[in-house]
Amino acid sequence: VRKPAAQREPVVAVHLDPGLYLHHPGAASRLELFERFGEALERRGVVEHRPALVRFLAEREALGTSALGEGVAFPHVRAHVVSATALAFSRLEKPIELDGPDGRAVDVVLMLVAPYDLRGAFYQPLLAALAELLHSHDGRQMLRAVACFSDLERLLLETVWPRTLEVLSR
Amino acid sequence: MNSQVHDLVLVQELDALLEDLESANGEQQEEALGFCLRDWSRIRLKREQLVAGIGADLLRRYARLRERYPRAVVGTRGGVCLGCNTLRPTAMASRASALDTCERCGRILFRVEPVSPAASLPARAGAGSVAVSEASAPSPRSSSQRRAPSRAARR
Repeated sequence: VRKPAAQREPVVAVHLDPGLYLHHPGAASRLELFERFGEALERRGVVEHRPALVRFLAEREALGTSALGEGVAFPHVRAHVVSATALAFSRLEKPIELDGPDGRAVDVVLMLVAPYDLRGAFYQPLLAALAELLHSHDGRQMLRAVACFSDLERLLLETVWPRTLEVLSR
Repeated sequence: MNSQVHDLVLVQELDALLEDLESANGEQQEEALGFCLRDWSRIRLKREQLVAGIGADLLRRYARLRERYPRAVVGTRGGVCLGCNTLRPTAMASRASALDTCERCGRILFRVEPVSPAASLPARAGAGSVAVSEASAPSPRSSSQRRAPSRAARR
């Protein structure tokens, strides 16, 4: 017996909603930050096994820092325990050390998670578009200027999404 | 949840990451995007530490399933195996046992914590949730799927 089609997740989608905008989440370390992200993603039904995602994010971070400089970090993973492509944002009240290239502690974090199957089809083009944006000084400043969910939504839909579609069409 | 299954979920993620990095352009792709990766041995070491605490029978079962499916350990929500999307028999789904497996596909299962109805609502239309049709989506193939096609795909 298969689940009715209406009960299944949209096949290809990128989740971005106010529940994934974390303002001052109360994280004092990278593990606590990943924990807060994990909790938010779990509340949105995007994560099937939060502890595994949190531990996996920590292992992935240890393999290579996601900090890009100017206090911005961009952790990104594909994981089997994630059920949809999702973007989450956090502005930390107290910067945390993530071994950034300029030595500056991180206080603005954009996270991209996606599953391995078709539901994660946008992962690579979205990752390429966001990496390109956030490796530039202007792009990092644009992300730093985000003050509310609407700003984030505007940045992603007006700047990142067209670039994502451009990457896809190559 | 059985703590060994709990660790196996992370082992599965580490295996997928290692496969990605070992694939033809996995590491170069990350570096091309500006993310430098350090020595992978840390990931292998972590995997070994986790595997050391998992029973041999469970590991054998996991290895056999991984040959067949990209995801050998999957969640079950509302009595549905999230690997094959099959509704499990009520008696089996509610049974408390050390190791839960799907009666149809054989995958190792863990129970997905329920989320509140309000939280599980889909994102508002036009509020940042971007959905596209399958027709306009890129190729669904992932590296792990290419290496281990599902039984259904092979038929």
